[in-house]
Amino acid sequence: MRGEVRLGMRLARGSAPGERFRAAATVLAHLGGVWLMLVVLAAVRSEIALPSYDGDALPLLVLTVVATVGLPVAVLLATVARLSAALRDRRLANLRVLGLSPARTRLVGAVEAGAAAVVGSLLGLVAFWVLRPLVRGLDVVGRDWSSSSFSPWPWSVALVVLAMPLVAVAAALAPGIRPVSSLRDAASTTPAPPPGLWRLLPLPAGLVVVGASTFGLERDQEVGDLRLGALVGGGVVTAIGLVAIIPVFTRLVAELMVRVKGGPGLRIAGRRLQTQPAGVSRIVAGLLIGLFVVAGGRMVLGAWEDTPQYRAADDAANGGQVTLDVYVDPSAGPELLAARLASVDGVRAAYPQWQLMTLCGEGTPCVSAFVGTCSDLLASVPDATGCRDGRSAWLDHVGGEPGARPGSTIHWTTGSDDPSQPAVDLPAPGSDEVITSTGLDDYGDSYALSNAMQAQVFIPDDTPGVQPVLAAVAAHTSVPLALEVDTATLSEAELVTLVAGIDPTAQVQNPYEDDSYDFVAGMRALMWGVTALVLATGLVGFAIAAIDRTVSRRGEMVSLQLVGTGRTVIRTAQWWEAAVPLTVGVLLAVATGSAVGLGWLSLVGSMDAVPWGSIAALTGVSLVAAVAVAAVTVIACAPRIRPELIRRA
Amino acid sequence: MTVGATSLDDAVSAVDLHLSFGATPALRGADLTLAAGEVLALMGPSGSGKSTLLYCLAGILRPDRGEVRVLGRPTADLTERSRSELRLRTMGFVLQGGELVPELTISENVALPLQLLGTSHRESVERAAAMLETVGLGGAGARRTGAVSGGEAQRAAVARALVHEPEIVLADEPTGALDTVNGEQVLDLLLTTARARGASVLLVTHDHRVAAHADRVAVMRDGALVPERTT
Amino acid sequence: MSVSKTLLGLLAAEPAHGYTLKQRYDERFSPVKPLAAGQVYASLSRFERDGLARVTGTEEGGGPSRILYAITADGVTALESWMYTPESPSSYAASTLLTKVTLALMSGRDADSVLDAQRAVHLDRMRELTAARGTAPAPDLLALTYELAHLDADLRWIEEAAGRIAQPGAGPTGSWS
Repeated sequence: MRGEVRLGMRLARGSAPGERFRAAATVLAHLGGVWLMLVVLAAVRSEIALPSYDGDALPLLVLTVVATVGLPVAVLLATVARLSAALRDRRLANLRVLGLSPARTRLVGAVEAGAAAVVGSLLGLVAFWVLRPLVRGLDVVGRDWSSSSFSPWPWSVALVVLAMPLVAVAAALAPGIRPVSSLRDAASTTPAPPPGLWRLLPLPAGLVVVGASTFGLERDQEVGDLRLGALVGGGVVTAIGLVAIIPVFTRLVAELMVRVKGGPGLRIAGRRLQTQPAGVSRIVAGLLIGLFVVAGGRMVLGAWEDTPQYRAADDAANGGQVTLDVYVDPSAGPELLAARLASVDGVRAAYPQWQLMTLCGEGTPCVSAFVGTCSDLLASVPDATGCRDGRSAWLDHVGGEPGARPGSTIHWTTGSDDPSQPAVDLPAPGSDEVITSTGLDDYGDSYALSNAMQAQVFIPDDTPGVQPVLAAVAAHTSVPLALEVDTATLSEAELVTLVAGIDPTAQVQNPYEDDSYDFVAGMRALMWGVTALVLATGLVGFAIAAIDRTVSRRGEMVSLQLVGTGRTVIRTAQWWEAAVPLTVGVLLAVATGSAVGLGWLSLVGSMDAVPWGSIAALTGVSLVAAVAVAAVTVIACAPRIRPELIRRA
Repeated sequence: MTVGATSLDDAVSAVDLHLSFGATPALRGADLTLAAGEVLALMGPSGSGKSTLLYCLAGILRPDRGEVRVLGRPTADLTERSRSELRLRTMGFVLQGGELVPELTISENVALPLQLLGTSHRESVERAAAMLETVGLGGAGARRTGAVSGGEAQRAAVARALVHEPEIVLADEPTGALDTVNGEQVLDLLLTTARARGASVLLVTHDHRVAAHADRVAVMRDGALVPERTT
Repeated sequence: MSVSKTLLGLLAAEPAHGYTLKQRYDERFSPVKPLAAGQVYASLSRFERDGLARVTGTEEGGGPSRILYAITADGVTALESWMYTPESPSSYAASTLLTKVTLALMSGRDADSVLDAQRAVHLDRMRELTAARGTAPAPDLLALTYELAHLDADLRWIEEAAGRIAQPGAGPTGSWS
């Protein structure tokens, strides 16, 4: 045992500069990977401590974020562990020839792979604690974590520090100890068996299931567990299919590249991709799953953004128009306050929201009416049409309730059935007297006016018999004052101060105030943060693997140059070999992730709120990053001819 | 000596070995005996199964049919682990590329079998140094594998093959990658040192001049041994 | 090189007239210097006398050129014993070996065994010389390495020939069309 451990550590240390570099790279990669995972875990823990997070979905959320970042990190570490893999596998096979049993050889390999990884992981842990005060104080995408303790759960720390070296060891040992009969074989240049066509199945199958889950869903219909299950299941199968299909895609593209008359560069790249399609896709897989999840997540987030609460809060935060209610004491007289507020710069309109109600009992209809002027109404719903001062009308839809439809007489009260309270009987508006607006709700129905005015009927305030009832209302209840505020000029906070200055007893409320805005904004920030991490780790891993492969093919490159192949051709070949899988993969990942996310949006009926802009930005950023990384590998790939390289060629 | 009759003195023997890689047969009833202290050259065109036979004798490959004996003991029933241990203890290898471990120095490479056998670090280093002297690499122990010439690397391989005093040395084209002069020297070294320690040597080669150094030459064709002339 | 044995070998491939036999011999074994017709007829009668061949027919016209000879069982035995006995490894071994292999292929016999036998003998000689090299004085060393080089060359040809024979459709066949 001691012999194996000793040998493993000696091998890990190496003696040539190239081997030392590899050890250093492993340490650094683990340091970075562990640090990153701990930061993400601490950030997630701080986020969910904020009050705006919904309790039920939390574990799933944490798991998703950790997995989405963790996967590319794991792939990066595995990639680093597989650097110079061919040589190291061969060396382990040599040990087998000498007479080391499979188990002992695996131990040597594990120690070799694990030694640097363990050192790096522990250093990462130290780095996290050392840098913690710095990270905590950072303002990351508008999130403020300084109030939290900013530390990950203890069990998660142990898990990360243990898991990362295990990933390295598993990756280093994964292909198994090669049978010794291949000891004398050079690295295989025969084409790998073509990727089986079964790989083409899961992706479309998953998408079909996702589509089926949304098919035939009636408006207003409850989304059952079956549909939800189908969506999630289909999504998982699609993700698997995404990873599975890349080698086939790569191979198809490779075949194309070889046949097309594009010059030698294309053909070389095509041949190389033909020989090793799976090698490329392993590395790209981590990146793609990350992008898939991010794209889908962004879509899902769109559902939240579709709620009126969110839209209103978004407006309020971003300088749009906001509706506020100010609750005034009965005795204070809402008209006066309204008049005073209306004259304030930034207040577009202020009016008391007078309301009359029916009794809402058995046998009686249940409707309410807004009493005011057309200008009040238009202030709240600017695109309302059909309002005429002096004429009562239905809001949005003609009423159909018995006792509250054209031809009936509606008994309007203060809301109390006390017979001593004043009431008034008015004829219901005719069937052609309707005020409408263009705003539609989730189900395609128009309720903008009803929602804004909290009523189904409009009654002009000069209708005879109405004022006494309103006076009675004012005497007993707090009449809300509707304010339309332009938050670019006057923020909600400033308004509150203003109102308090005028009437200390008045209360300002945002009827749409909801924690969900904070939540959604937080989620969006999280999504972009995760995207950045996923792209960074995935692409860095790709670059490392590509450059390592290039370095191990140095001999071949020099031979090609000696024979007369220009460096441009070699570079072109490398460009195609790197750019094609990356760009195809990125597009495919974002497209399929978006498709699954769209399925979700369709199920919850938020198809209006698809965040195409965000998705386009995500695609753009990913493509640019991918192209940049491909360019880096191109620069590294054609070495200058040096004497020692010729000797080996 | 007739093929097929094994005596207790035999270092290693194979009787009626059959082995196929998938659908391709590599050994078709190969019989071979390496007597104690003998140097046997195994020749044949490429594809005849020479290396396969060597690896079967070493216990690295398992034949589909047939019996392999090492120092009189049949190896068919041994587990992978036992066969590895047997190989480590009783055999030394000189392969065409040398196959030294690049991360280790020359002396660490030579000491490797001893260390794997559990010999103390100090003793391993001493014996490795002595071995390096024998092969003429006395001062080169601290050099890295990449810093020595092909001939020097093969000499180190010879040293490594004999440092733990194995009974059997298996050499697969040991001079294949060397020029004639270097090759002669390495071969001489291997055979002299092995003979001095009483080890048996199986020398797989396609080079007649190399085979001419052996006590006996066996020829393989199509996965089996060509019957020796009885004169 | 044994002319008579070669003629016997040709006869083993197919019965023939003396004239045809001479033609085949010249074509295959001595294109530059044709065999004397007299030598052919003399060999043939000697074969008949020794029981290695027999007359199977004559054609009109008379004369020795029209007599058809065929090899006998004894002839086959003599031929094979010559064919499968390796030459001693000297400078003249090569051309005889070539003849034997050619004849074997022509008459459908086992050419591999011919090569194997010769190889073994050559290797034995190489081993002797290699062992002697260690202690040989300088002048002898030159002769030694000379012979070694030639043996090596012969052995290389043996391997090459063996490889070629293994391939289908290789080498001369017995039928002349």
